[in-house]
Amino acid sequence: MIEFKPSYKTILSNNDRITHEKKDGSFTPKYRLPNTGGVIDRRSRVPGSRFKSRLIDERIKKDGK
Amino acid sequence: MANKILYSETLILEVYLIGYASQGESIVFLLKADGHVSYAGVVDCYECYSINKTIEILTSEGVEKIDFLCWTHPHDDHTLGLNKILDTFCSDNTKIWITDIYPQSYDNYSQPSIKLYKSLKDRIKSGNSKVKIATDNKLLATLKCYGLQTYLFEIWSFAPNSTILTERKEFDKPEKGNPYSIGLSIFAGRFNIMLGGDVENETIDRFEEEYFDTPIDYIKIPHHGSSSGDMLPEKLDLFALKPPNIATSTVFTGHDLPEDKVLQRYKKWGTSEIYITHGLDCVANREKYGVVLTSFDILEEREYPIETILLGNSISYN
Repeated sequence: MIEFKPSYKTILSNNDRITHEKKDGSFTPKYRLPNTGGVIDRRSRVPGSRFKSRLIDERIKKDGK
Repeated sequence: MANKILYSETLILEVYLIGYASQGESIVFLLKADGHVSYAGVVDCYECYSINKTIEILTSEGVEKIDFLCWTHPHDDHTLGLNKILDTFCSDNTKIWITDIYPQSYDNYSQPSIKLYKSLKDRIKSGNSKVKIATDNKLLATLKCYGLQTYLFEIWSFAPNSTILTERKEFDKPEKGNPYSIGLSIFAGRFNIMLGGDVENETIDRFEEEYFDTPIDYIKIPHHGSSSGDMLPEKLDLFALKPPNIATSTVFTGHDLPEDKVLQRYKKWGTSEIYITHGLDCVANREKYGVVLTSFDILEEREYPIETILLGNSISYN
């Protein structure tokens, strides 16, 4: 099981090995790709559909309003 | 940069539209897997008053090298500070995309900008470079995000229109720049983000329907909301596309941009949220920059998969 560490950058290379990059080095434990299913992309979008969207104004948060 | 990333819990695309009080435009986008940056891109750059928000954002997010850089065109308001991005944040693994300015048009740009442009063009000529030319309908970057599901992340260019540029070349007609502007589509999972650069109506008029075939969630309005690029809502509506949730614009006060009538076109089309990086009214003692930060929950697990935060002097247009 891979442990994810926020301070690391996780990358899968072409030979399906996982790399956690760090400024002063890296390590590469073996890892098998977990997914063999289809890829979700724009083509799987329902025509005419919209996602819910909202504004969170950071300044309002800061002002406590 | 590997063409695969791994996520466990979250997969978020953050798009920062950066503008300044009088002019200037830059975009930073960060693909974050489990909260940390796995892919970083920059589109254009600007700096003034010793402020370079592009660099500030990259630095604050802990980005040391970016994966993708697109310079839409060499006008100064899309260029100042770009040399610092190239020198500091680009590596041999950074894909750099520029537009193909024909030499007869070089005189239409400032000396520093065209000097920088020529240096990148020289890197292409050297034959061993990550610098490439973007044209219409070209795949610029792609990667797969693996986790419980697999999500595709792609960047395509829909402009400049190569036919228009060929016509310019054949008739030896110098061009001031905007037909050269690169326009980008970022496809992240089911989300569709359109970055309009300074694309103008001549290019928009030649858009092909088969390229614009899925709903668009976010449009960075072309050319700072100038009427020279105002055909976009009507064109996309003609393709039976519904309006995006969000349209954004930077400002260019010297040309009174964005134009209110252009923003109204997006409103009339049905765009529910319009954000500008700087208030249209000049108010003293306010921030000299504005950032519109929009995040897209690629896993579609949040109640609101798209959320926007306004920073600095950015405003919501009503």
